[in-house]
Amino acid sequence: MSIAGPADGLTARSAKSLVGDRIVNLAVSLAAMLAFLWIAQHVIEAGYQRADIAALEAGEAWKRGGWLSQIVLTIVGYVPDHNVRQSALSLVGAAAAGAILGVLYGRLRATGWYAIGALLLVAALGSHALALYAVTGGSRAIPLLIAFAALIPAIRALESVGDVQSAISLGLMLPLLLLASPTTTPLILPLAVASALADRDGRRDIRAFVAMVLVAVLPSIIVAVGVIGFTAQAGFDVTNLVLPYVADFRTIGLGNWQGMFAALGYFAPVLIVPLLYCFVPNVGETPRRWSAVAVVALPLYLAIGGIIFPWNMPVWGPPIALLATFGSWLAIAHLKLWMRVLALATLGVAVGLSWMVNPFWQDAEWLKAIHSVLPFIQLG
Amino acid sequence: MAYLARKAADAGDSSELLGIDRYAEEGDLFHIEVAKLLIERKLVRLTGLAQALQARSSWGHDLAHILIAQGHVRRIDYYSAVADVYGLPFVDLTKQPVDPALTSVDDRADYAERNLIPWQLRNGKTVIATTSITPRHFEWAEARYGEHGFDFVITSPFDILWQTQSLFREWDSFFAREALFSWKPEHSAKFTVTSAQKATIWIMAAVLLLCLIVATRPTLVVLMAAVTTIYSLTFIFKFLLTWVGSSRRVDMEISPEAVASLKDPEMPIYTVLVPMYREAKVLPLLVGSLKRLDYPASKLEVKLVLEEDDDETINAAKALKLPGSFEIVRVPKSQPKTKPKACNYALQFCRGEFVTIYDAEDQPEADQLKKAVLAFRNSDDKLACVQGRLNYFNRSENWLTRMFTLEYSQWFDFLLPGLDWLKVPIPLGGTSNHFRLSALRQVGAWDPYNVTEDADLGVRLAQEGFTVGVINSTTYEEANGVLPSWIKQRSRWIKGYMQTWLVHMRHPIQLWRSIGTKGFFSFQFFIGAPPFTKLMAPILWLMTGLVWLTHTHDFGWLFPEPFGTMAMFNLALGNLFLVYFGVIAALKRRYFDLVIVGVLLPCYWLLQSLAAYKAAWQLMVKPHYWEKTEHGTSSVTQKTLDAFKQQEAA
Repeated sequence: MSIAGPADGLTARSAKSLVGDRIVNLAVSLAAMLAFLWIAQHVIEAGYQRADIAALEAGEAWKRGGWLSQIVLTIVGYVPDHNVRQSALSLVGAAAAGAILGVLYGRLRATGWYAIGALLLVAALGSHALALYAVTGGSRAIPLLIAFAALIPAIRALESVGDVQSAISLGLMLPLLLLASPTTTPLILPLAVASALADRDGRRDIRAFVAMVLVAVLPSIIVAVGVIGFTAQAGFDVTNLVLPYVADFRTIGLGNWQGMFAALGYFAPVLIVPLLYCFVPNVGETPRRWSAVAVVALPLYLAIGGIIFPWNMPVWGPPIALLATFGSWLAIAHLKLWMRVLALATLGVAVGLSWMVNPFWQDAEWLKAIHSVLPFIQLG
Repeated sequence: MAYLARKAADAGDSSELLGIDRYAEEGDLFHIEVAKLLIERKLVRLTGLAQALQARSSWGHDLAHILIAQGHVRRIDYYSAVADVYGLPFVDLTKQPVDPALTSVDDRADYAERNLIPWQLRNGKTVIATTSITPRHFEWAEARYGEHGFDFVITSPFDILWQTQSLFREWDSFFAREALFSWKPEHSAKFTVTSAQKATIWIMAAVLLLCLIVATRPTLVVLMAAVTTIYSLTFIFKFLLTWVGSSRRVDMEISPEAVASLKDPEMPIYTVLVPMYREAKVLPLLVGSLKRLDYPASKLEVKLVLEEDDDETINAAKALKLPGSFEIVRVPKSQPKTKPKACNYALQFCRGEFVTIYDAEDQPEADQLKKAVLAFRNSDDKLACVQGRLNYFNRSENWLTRMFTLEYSQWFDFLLPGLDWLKVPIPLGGTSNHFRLSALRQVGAWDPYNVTEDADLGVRLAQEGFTVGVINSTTYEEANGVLPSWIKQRSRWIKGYMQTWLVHMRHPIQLWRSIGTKGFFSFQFFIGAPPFTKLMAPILWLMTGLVWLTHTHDFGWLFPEPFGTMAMFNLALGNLFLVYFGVIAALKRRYFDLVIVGVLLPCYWLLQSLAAYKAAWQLMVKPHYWEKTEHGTSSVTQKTLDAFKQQEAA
C-alpha cells in the first residue's frame, strides 16, 4: 500500500479475467501433462526401458543423481511391478513438466505475450526432442532443470527489486541446486557470493558481505542437515547419500569439448536471444543483464563441467538446461514484439533441428519407441 | 468592568464591545487583546509573542494554545488575563473549589472535553467555571440551567483537570478498572478462566488421566502427535508470515513527500499518553524525544500518567518545568496496579482526535505522528489503530540486547506486516500504537487485568470489526540487557499471551464468527501456540538429548509415521529454519552485525522457555501481577542522561 505517491504502472484486472486466465493455465497444464503421459506410456509399451529404472533395479540408483531424484526413485522402488514402476515415474515426470508448462503459459501472458504466441512457445518447448526425452526417457535431469529455471527469476528479483524478499528467495532457491544434482551443488557458493556483492553494503563492508553470504548459504546447509537426518532416521546408509557428491569431482580431465559446445549450439540456438538482449538497446524494458547472462552461463557451466569432471554428462544435458533457463527467462522478461518473435523463431529452429539426424544424440531405442507413437517422425 | 469595555470607554468608544456576545467565537482580536494585556503586565515578552504569532500562522491554531505550548506564559497567568478581557472573575479552583452537589457524573466527559465545570451557586444562578466562552458553552449551559440560569467565571485548564480528578476520583478509578468488565465481562481477564473453562479443564484432565492409566502408550502417542502437529503448523505459519513480510510491498509506505505535503493547520489535536512508575531518572529523555516530534506543539497534548504515590517521579516532572502542553495525571491507588489501568484512567482526560502511548525512554521518529495521521486519513473509519515499529537504540550493548533486537526486528519488520497483509488480527506492541480515540473508547479501551493489554486490544479491535495497520515509522526503545529483569519482563509477556488466549477462547465459535477462519487460525498460532511451544521445548529437547547422547532411551514408539517424519522435520529443518528467520530479521534494517550472532538464537529460546514456566506459575497464583520493567539500565541511556545533565548545568 502506497500513500500519496504516483500510481504503479500495473493495470487492475477484473476478477473475472483473472479467473479466466487461471482456468486457461490449468487447461494448458492438463493438456501438456496428458500429452506427455500418453507419449510416455506408449514409449514404455513399445518396449523402451527407462535408464533410471534400470539403474534402480540394478541397485545402482544411489550412485548417480541428486537427492531429489534419489528420493523419488526410492519411493517408486516400493512399487512391486516393473511396468507400473516405469509408469509411475513417467507420471511424476509428466505431472511436473505439465505443471511447469502451465505456469509458463500463465507467466508469458502476464508479461505481455499474446495467447497464440504463448501457446506456440509452450508447444514448441514441449515438443523439443530433448524435452520429450527428458520427461519420457528416464532422465534424472528434471530436478536440475527445475533448479535452473527457478534460479533465473530469483536472480532477476535481486537485480530489479533488491529487497529482503529477493535476497531470501535466492537463498531459498539455492538448496534446489543441492537437491538437483551433485553437478550443480558447487554453484551454491559462487551464487551466494554474487548475491552478497550485488548488495551495496556487501561491496563496501566485510561484515555485510559475510552476513549476506551466510543468508544465501544457510538454507542449503539446513536442507543438507535435514536430508542427512531423514536418511539416518529411515535407516539408510548416509555414506551412499554423500558419495555421489564426492565421486563427481574426484578426477579432472579433458572430455569431448567439441561435441559438448557444438551440441549446445545445435540443439539450442535460442541462446542468441538473451545475448542480444544484453547488448541491443530498446528491448522493451530496462535491461536486467545478470539474469539474461545466467540464462546462458548456467548451461555453459554444465558443458564445461561435463568436459572437465567425470560427470558422465551427456552432450544433450547443457542444451536441455538452456531450454529450461530460456523458458524461465521469457516468463519474466518484458520483451518487445520483435524479440518475442525472434525467441519463437529460434525455438522453432531448435525444435526442428532436434528431430533431425545428428551426430550429438541418438537413443535408438527411444527413437524407435517414439516412432511407434508418432509415426510421422522419420528418424534413424 | 471588562478590560475591553474599559479600554473602549477610555477611548470614548461605546460600541457593542460592552458585554459578551454569546454568538461570538474567540477570534484573533480576542487573543491579541489577551496577549497585549500580558505584555502590559510583563508576563509575556514581545519576542515571545512574535514567535507565537509566527507559529500561529503556520500551525493554524489559536494564540492561547501556542503561547502556553511554547512556554511563553503560565496557564494561570494567561487565563487571568482572559478573565480580565472578558470582564469576569478569575477563580483558582484549588482555593475556591467546586460545589460537588452541582456536578454530575453524566457530564463528566463534557467537563474534560469542553474545559468547563459547574462551580457554585450565586444569586440563584449556577456559575460555570470555564477556560473560554463560546456559543457551544452557552448551548451546553442553557440545556441544563435554562436561558437565564447560569453565569460564567474563568479558570485555567489545570484547575478544571485537577478539580475533575478530585471530584470524580472514585468514579474514574472504578471506570478505569471495571469499564470493560462491566460492559463485556467475557472479554475481561479479571477472571483468568471462567467456570465453563474450569469445568472443561478438569474434565479434560480427568479424561487424560484415565486414558494414561488404561492405555498409557497409545495416549502418549496421541499427545505427542498433537504436539508435533502444532509445532509443524506453527513453523509453516511463521514461514509464510516471514516470506510475505519480507517483501517491501506489504509495508504501508508513507513517503517523505506525503508527510511534507501535510499542512500544520490541518493537523488535529493529538494526545500522547506516557504511563510511568518510578522512572524519574529517564524523564529528561522523554521530554527531549517529545520535543523532537515534528508536530505543532500547541496541538500536542502530553499526559504524564503517574501513580499518585510516585512522589519521586511527580516531583521530578514538576522540577523540569515542562511546557504547557504537558499535564500530569495522577492515578489513584487501586488494584490492579497496571499500566493499562493507568492508561484507562488517563483516557478520560484526553481531548485529542488521536491518541498514542509511549514509554518513558521511547525515542519515536520525528514524523511518526504525521505518518499516523496520514494513514488514518487515507483509510476508512474501520482503521482504528496503526502500529509503529519498535526497535532498540542499544542493540549492541550485550548478547541479550542483540538477541532482543533480532527478535523485535523479526516481529515488527516481518511478522506484523505479514499479519497485516493477511488481514488477520494483529497483537499490538507495547507502545507506539496510534488510535482513533473514538474507536478506542468504543471497544472499551484496555483491559486493566491483562498484563499484555496491547496484544489483547489488537484481538478485541478485530472482534469489534475494526482493523489495525502497520506504518513504516520506528520508535527506538531501550532493550533490556539485564538477565533477571529480562526474565521478569518476558514472563509477564508470556503470561499475558496465555491470558489473552484464555479470554478470547471462552467462546471459540463467537471468536471464529467475528474474525473469520483465517483470523481464528492466525490467533491460535500467534497467540496460543507460542507459550505452548515454549513450555514444551525443554521436554522435547530433553527427550532428544536422552536419545542421542545416552543411547539408553528409545522414543521411536512415540512417533509412528507420519509423525516420526514430522518430528524429524521439526527438529532438523524446523528449528534451523527458525534460526534462519531470526537471522534474516536483521536484513531490513541492515544490522549485519546481528546476522552472525543470530545463530545463537537457540540459547535465547532456552531463556524464553525459562520465562514461560515462570509465566505459567504466575498465571495460576497471581495472574494480574505486573512485573515492572526497569528502565534506564543501559549504558547508552546513562550517557544520554549525563549529556543532558551537563547541558543543563551549562
